[in-house]
Amino acid sequence: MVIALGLEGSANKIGVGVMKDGVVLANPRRTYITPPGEGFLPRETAKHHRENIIPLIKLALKEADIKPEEIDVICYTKGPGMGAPLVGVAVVSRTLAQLWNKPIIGVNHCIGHIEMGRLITKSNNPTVLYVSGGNTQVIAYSERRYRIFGETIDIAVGNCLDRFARVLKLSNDPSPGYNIEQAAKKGKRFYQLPYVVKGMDVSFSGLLSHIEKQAPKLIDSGEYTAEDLCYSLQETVFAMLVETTERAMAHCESSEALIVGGVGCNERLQAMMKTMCEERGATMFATDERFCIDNGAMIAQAGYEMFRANVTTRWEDTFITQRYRTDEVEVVWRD
Amino acid sequence: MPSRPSRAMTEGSEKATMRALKKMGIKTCAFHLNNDWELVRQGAEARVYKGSYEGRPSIAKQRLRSEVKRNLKCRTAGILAPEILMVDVDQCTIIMEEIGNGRTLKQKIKELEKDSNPADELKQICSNLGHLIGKMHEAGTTHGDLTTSNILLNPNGEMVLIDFGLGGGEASAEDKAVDIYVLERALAATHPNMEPLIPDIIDSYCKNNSKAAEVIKKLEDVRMRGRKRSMVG
Repeated sequence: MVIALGLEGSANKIGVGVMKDGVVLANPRRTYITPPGEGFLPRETAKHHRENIIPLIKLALKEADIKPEEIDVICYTKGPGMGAPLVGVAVVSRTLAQLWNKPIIGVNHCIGHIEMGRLITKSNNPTVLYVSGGNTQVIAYSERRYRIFGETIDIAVGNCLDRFARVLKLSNDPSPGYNIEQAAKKGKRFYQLPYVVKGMDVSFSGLLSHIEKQAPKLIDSGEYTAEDLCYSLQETVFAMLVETTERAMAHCESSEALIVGGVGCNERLQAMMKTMCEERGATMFATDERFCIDNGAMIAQAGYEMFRANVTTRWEDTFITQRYRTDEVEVVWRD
Repeated sequence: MPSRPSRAMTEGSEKATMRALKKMGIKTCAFHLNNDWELVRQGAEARVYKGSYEGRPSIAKQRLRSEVKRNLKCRTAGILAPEILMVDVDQCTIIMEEIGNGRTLKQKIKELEKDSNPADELKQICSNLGHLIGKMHEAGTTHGDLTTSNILLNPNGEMVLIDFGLGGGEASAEDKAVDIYVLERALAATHPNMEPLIPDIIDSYCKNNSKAAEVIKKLEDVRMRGRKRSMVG
C-alpha cells in the first residue's frame, strides 16, 4: 500500500491530492480567477497559491482522513509551468518532505495528466491529445517514452480560446474556456477562419490574430454574433486537433484516443473526437473537469507510479523548471 | 466527420485531373464497391478496401482529396506509387493496384530493430528514403503525411509511396521542409533507433534534389519553430 501526496500549482490552479493505490482519497483545488478581459500573471498567481496552499493541504489530509505519518511520498510539479507559482509549491513540498522525513518526487506536469487520464478511464495504450492553456500535444507511448507526435508551434489551444474570451470580455469564472463553450452552443453561422495544420503540428497564433482583428467589425455590423464566432473558433481549432490525432492513430495503429488537459473537458471537442474514433472503430476516452483540469491527484498518481518503480528525486534535483518536455522523462513504470 | 473545414476536394482543378486521367487511359466511371470488397484499414481520413478489379488484386480507397493528382505527378517523375486503375469521382472511390502484401516500411524497420546488427540495412533505408523524397520534391510535389506507415515495400523491396491525400499543390520550400520535418518526427516517435540516422536521409535527399539547399535552410527554421514552444502550463 502506497499513499502519495501530490501538490500542483503550475498555472492558475492550486491543488492538493491524496492517492492511495489508484484511489482518490482527496483532491481539493482552488482557482485564481481574474476579472473579465484579463489573464493571470505570475506574481499575482504565486501570491494566490501561497495564501491557499497550507489550508488546502490541511483540507486534503482531513478529507482523506490520514495523518502525515501515513504518507509514503510527497510529489510536486517540477514543470513545465510558470516559474513563480511553481517555486512556491516546490518550497512547500521540500519543507514537508524534511518536516515529515519523506521521500520526494518531482513530477512532469504533462505526465501527470496522462497517468491520471489512463487511471480514470482505464484506457490501456491510448494516443493522447493533451490540450490545455499552456500545452497542445499529440502523444503516443513507445519504448519507455511518451513521444510527441505533433504539437503546437506557437500558442496552446487553450491560450487561443482564453485570449478570444478576453476580446469578448467573457467571464473567467469558472474558466474562460467554459464560457466560450456555452456561448458556442448558441452559435449558428459559421465564419471561415484560417485552418493551420503543418504536417503533424498545428498553429493557432495567426488564427487568433485574425479573429481578434475581425471580431469587433463582424459583431458591430451585425453580420455575426459573438456566439457565432465562439462556435466558429471552436469548430476550426478542434477540427485541427482531431485531424492530427487521427493521423497519429493511423500511424500507430492505435485503437484508443484519450483527451487530457483543461480543454479536454470541452464536450464539443469530446464529441468530435468520438465521431472520428467511431468512424475508425476506435474508442474515445476523456475525463470530466475534476481530473482533466489541473489538480493535485494527477501529480500524486504519476508520483505513485514512479515511486513504485523505485524512482525518487535526489534532494539536489528538487528544483523547478519552466521548460520540461513530455519526452524527457523515462517512463520506467510501463512496459 | 464533424464540420471539418477541410482542404478537401477544393484544391486544384478537378478538370485538369480528369484530363490527365484521360490522357493516361485511366477509366473514370461509376463504381459500386460490393460485398466482395473487404474493409482492411481505416487510414487517416480514408477507408481502404481490398478486392479484385478486372481480375487484378486491387485496393479501393474512398475519399479522394488530392490523392489522384499527386499520385500521377509522382509516377510521372519516376517515383513508385500504386498504379491507378479506375476513378469514380462522384463516389470518391479510387481503385489501384495492390502492392505486395501491403507490408509497410514501419513493419520492416520494427523487424530490423529486433536484429542484433541492423545498422547497415537501416543506413540503406535512410539512403533510399532520401532518394525518394528528393525525387518527389524535385518533381514539385509534396506528400503531406510522410510516415513509415505510408511507405510500402513491393516484392522487390523497393519503396512505394501511398496516401497522398494531404499533399500540397505547387509546393514551396516551406511545404517541402515541413514534409521532411513530419518524417523526422514520425521516425523519432515510432523508431527511436532511427533518429540518429536522420542526417543520412538528409545527405541522400541533397544528392537527389537540385534545389535541396533552400529546403534544408527552411528545415532549420521549421525545426527551431518546433523547439521554441515555451511549454508553460
